[in-house]
Amino acid sequence: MTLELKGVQARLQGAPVLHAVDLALQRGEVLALLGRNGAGKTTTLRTIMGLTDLSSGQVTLEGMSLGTLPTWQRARTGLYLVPEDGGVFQEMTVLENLRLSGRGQPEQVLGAFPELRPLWQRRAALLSGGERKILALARAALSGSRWLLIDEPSLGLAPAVLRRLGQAIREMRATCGILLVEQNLRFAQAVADRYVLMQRGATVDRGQIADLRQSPFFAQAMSFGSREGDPA
Amino acid sequence: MIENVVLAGISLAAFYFVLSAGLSLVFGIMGVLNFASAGYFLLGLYASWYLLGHHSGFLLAAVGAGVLAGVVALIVEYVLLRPLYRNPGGQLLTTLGVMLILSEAVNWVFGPQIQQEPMRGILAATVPIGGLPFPVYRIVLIGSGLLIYGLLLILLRGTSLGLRVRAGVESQTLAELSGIRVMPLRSLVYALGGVLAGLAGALYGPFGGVYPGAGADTLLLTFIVVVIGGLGSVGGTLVASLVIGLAEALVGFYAPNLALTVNVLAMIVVLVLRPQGLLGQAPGRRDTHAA
Amino acid sequence: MRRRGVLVPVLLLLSLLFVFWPWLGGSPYLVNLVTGGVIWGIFAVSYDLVLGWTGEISFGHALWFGVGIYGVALLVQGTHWDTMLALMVVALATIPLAFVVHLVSLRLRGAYFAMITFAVAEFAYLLVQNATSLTGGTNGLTGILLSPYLLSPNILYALPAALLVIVVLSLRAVSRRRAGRIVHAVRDNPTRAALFGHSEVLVKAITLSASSALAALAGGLYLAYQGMAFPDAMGSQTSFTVLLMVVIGGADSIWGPAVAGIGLYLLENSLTATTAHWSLWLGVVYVLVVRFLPLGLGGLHTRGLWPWRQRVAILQGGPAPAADQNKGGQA
Repeated sequence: MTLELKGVQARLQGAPVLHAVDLALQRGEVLALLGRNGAGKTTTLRTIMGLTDLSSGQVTLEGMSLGTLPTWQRARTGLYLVPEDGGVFQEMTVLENLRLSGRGQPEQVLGAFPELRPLWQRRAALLSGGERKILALARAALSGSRWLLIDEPSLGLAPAVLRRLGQAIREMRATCGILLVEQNLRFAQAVADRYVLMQRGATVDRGQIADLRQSPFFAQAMSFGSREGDPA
Repeated sequence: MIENVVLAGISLAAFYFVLSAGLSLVFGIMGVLNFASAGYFLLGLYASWYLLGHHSGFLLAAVGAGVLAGVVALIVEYVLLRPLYRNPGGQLLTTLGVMLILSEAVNWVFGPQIQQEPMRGILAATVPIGGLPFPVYRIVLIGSGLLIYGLLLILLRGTSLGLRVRAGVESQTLAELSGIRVMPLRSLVYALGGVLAGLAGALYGPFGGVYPGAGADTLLLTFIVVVIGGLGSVGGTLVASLVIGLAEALVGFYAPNLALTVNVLAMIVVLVLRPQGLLGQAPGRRDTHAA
Repeated sequence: MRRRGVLVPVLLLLSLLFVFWPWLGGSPYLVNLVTGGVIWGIFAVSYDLVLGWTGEISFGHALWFGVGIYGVALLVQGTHWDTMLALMVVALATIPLAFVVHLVSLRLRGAYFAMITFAVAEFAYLLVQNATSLTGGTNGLTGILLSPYLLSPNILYALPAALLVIVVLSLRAVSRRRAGRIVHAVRDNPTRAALFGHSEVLVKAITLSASSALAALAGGLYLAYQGMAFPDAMGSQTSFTVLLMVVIGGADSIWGPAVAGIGLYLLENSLTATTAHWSLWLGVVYVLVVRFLPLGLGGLHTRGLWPWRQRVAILQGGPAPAADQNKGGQA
């Protein structure tokens, strides 16, 4: 039960952005994809979802190569991306957002995300940043997707909200494989099991999250642009 | 006296709404300014004129106009626009071409002269309002506008299809990430835009005249309404239609030559200062995605 | 190098022929007809700078054509200057005016930019129609005192023809040099070009100003050609026509639009007597070209017309643009 990237290369408007990305994600774990700005972390997520074309290499889901499958179909096979800017429809209410997540009755998420109950009819644009992230995760949970790709969820959140977010992600880990792009190292270390380091479009190192700082590539790969962040 | 002008303005607003709502939605979900809308308008105008001339009732003529325009729009989308899916610039250029072709085709078949629209029965009557005769037809216009607005509202807010359409309008990327197939929605919305433009054409005949240049003449007004209302927003189109309709009636009453000029100026000002219009989403912010 | 050596004299010869053939014997009617075509050729080349060089679509290029027409007409009416002098003055004066207008318009991109160009051109058209005391309203301005040498059809032809040759050759030279490469880089990948210090807005504004000045030049020549100024010359139909010319000719080349401009003008003005539905067929050809020959007849390519990065382009990744820089539906 693996989501795998092998030798993935990708270009954006002709310019090469990824040139050697290899990683494997298992169900039941949180894998942190780390690296500084511009290393290609977001592009990697977009490539998995089919938003950016592969120029070389493979993305395989449970043994099946995703090839040129369109984005909507990848979403329906259990891949779910929560983009950096939120992953919710701003013009719609919380209820409508949940209805749009594909399957299941919206009320089901209230068990794991009770804080959404009073916000049910509120337009997403009027939610706080933290509430929107929770809504995005609730949408992911409701969709029944087994593979979550989350892009910098901790961005702009207060410590208390971060704690809640981390808790929510850890809870979802039981049934999903989660690929977490982060620049907040404290948050990543608190939430993830393993890490993969990216530098200049390539994956350069991997290992258990506890061993992150011992990595010979750590200093280089994280040289500037990363945030220490508050304790999660 | 003033009641006549205001009512005239509201009836204009109703017409502008039907004319522009489709354009707004199409831009919302496809990111394309659908010049061809003026062509579908023209088709609807002539189709309804033809049907009325062959003893059809007004309702049937209008429906026929809408259906014809919708079918043509569907064909255009499938044959010409869909292959250019990744090329919005090409789509924009194509819609312009479709407008030119349809205008010229109508000119060819029917000639450039203004045709008489045969209005019969109650639709040709007037009622006294404010001491002056007010055309019943204008009241029909207002009713039609309200009806279509109501139907659109039910479709967009009351059905799951409408929900998916709104999702596609807000962000095609996010919709696809949610597992929604946006391509068929685009076709649907484009065809709907055609139907609405065709209906607008049928509505235009009795008060605007039936001639090939009608498409180009209304094109500018359509753009003004959708820009001010906000591309992608039906509610915005409604509000903007009222603003423009009333402005045109009022300004047109006191200074006929200025009406259009003032409206165009308003459009330019809005584009420069607040491109998203009244209720649209900020253009740069829509569908932003992470680096 | 050997090829270059052969090419230059051939080019020179062809250019001379192009400019001076009326003296080799051509009926005044024919010369006059081709003159109109050449003027439209210049206008089309000016629009190529918009469509091909900046990659933006403008639906209001007739505005600058009109600036040339009415600018020269009013200037000559007021000062009785030599027509060619008035032409140069108006073209130069257009540059700062255009620069300001384009700077403001370039707050937008994509479909929004297209709309503001359309709106501004329509606004100017309405103004000209209504300012009857200044512009003669819908009747236009007649009886412009043109310089006497322009009464000769051959001279009236040779001047625009020479200008067209100079412009085409100059632009080809520029496009090969650094300036041209910067313009193309900004067009293809503005974010990347910005990393090298090239401001997208500035580069496009300059290019567009050059195109406006050239269009004004064409407009002034058109005034000399027609002998009168009228509002329809700066209406939306003119904007659409020149757009069709450039798309069919090929936005990616410079001589393509020039040839298309001349050719389509000649076809329209000699065929409408026989083919009543010229515009219809032109529209069909245009749509087919957009669909199957995105780079027009001047170049065959399988890719789209240009990389238009805007909100529905799912394939476009890359950094989201800074919010304030981007009021226009595209990056």
